Amino acid sequence: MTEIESRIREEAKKVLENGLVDLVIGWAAGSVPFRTTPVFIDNAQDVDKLVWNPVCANNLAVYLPKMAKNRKVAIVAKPCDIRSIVALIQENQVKRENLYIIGLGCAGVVDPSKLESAAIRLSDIKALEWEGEGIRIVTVDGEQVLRSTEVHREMCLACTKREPALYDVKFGEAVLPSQIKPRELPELPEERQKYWSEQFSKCIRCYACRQICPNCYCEVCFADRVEPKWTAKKAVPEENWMFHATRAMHLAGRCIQCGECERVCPVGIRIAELMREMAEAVKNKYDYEAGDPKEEAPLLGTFRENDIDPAQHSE
Amino acid sequence: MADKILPKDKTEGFIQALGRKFVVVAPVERKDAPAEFKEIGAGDKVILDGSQMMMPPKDYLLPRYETLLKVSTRPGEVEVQPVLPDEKPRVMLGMWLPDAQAIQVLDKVFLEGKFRDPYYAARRANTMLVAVMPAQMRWSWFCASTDDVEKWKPNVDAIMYDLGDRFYIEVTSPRGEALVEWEGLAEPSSEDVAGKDRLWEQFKSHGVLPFSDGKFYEQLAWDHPIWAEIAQKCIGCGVCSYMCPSCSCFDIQDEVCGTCVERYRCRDTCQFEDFTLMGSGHNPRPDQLPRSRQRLMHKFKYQHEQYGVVGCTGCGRCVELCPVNVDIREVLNKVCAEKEPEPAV
Ligand code: SF4
Ligand code: SF4
Ligand code: SF4
Ligand code: SF4
Ligand code: SF4
Repeated sequence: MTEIESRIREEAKKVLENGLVDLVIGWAAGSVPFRTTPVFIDNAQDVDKLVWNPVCANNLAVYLPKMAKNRKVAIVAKPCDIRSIVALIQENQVKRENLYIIGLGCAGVVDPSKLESAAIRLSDIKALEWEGEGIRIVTVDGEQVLRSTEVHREMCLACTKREPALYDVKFGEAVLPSQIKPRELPELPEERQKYWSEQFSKCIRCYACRQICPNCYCEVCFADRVEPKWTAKKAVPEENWMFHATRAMHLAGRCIQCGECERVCPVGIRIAELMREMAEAVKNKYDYEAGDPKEEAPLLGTFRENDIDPAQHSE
Repeated sequence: MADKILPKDKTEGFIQALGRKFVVVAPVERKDAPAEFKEIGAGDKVILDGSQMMMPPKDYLLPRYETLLKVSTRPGEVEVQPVLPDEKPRVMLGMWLPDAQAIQVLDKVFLEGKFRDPYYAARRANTMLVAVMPAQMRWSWFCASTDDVEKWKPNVDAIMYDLGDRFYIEVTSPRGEALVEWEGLAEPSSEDVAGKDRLWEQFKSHGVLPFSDGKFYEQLAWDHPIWAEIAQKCIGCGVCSYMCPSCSCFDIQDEVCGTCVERYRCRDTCQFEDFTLMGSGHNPRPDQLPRSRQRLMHKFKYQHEQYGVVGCTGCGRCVELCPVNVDIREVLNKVCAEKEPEPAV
């Protein structure tokens, strides 16, 4: 157990015991050492289940709109998860006063599929630990340290906001990446069209990307509506385009770049890459960043005098 | 039966030879995604060694999207045309053995009993199944906990064991003989036989859960507290069922396009909020708890009661891919043993 882990547990115990919250949402050890799993603790005796390590991937903010509706909840959160929380507060999906945020400085999260590419047998892994910018992997035959570029999730390789932006208590220090991974999208529009066609054609419409996304909280998603039927349920390229393009537009100025959608996609669609593209467009055109506590209101719910007039602006 | 050796450098010739007699369906490599079963064509890179995650073979037999019928309307005239797939002799290669066994489960659902599904039947008729036994067992497999895997062998026509530079082709059904007629195949040595036996023994003992007597169906209780525990974290997506080789649920939709109507079927899952949601607004499984319970009870209890087969064959896809690490092995451990599970890796 690391020092930060024990401080998270102490904090969770404290807020449960003194009645500040009814529930703590955090990560627990997973069924295998290279995964963790969301855990919901309402009894101070159970706080030792909480863990903090480089496979704490899940953005737990996804549970807040339902779980923190009528009760006080403490949430253990990475900086990206906290940006989700900020966005949820701004969009009135959760009340700040219902939350106790245990924020963490972050050093990036591991993508287990990359471990396999680095010729590490997943079943040999015993533990993963942060080691500076890299990751120490303890296996049955010893240990090795891999560079972040070899093992981190794509979204983490592009993330510089590794300090929590909003919290009640904060543990741990951020480790900033020495290099930022550039976007890999083709430049020419026709090539992009081809790239995304190929990506979207793989979609099986399992909706894991939507279900895991803290900002996709709509009670009935457009994709499930029958009247009007915005998109058919069949997983064919043209309907998949409709689903993905619409979802991207719904998240423009709202997606906070946690990369969860891409992590959970069973067919490896580079959704987070698309979302990163959207977020950059929003930043360039409106100087707005979703999930930043300095922003007072959601982008699409505000008008500023210097906003670009779409009629005057086509690109 | 006549077992054979296929040297890996002759794989292409072998597939071409099969192609002269059968439509060959195999996992084809894709960019950033698990290989997908399709009728192979020029330029396709086929992955036969079972070493990687692949889409379930059901995607071929029960496509994610399939037109069932078309209706065309003209003034005073309505014409209904079923769109049936061809019945061609096919051979499906490269699937994991649990995936092949999962096809037995699909057969029960779509071919036996009161309703025979003509669409599934057309693809399934004359389709031979060739399973692969990879050189390394997958960490998430727990096949031998779900059933007596010896019983699975005759359900496929052949098994290809990956012995490094060669495949050992074990013919497991009489009609499977037709698969090994190609002259490029060699006779197995006693060493090859030993290699095959070794892999089979590994498969039989791999991923056996601590309590494994395979009788989950007697122990799964309707009111077990575990359902609430899973439901709390489950996000209600389609990953576990859409990727599962034996999940068979589908939706049927009608779509109007000008003067014609298309009736198609596509995937559906008990994990979705709108699954079996009725027109009246009533939903028999109104929240995630009954949905989470349904997935496991259906596989381990109801299907066993109904068909005498276990609906889960331990392929591990849901174990690997669940976004919130709902690990079916852990759930079974908890329910059946009522003790903290050992790490099941
Ligand atoms: S769209 Fe993807 S990256 Fe953006 S907030 Fe949702 S899950 Fe995170
Ligand atoms: S895709 Fe759009 S409609 Fe669907 S849940 Fe996300 S924001 Fe809501
Ligand atoms: S998770 Fe992937 S496959 Fe599933 S709906 Fe989203 S993009 Fe499609
Ligand atoms: S339930 Fe999971 S392990 Fe069992 S067959 Fe389906 S995907 Fe495989
Ligand atoms: S894959 Fe996991 S989160 Fe998705 S429905 Fe299945 S159990 Fe729930």
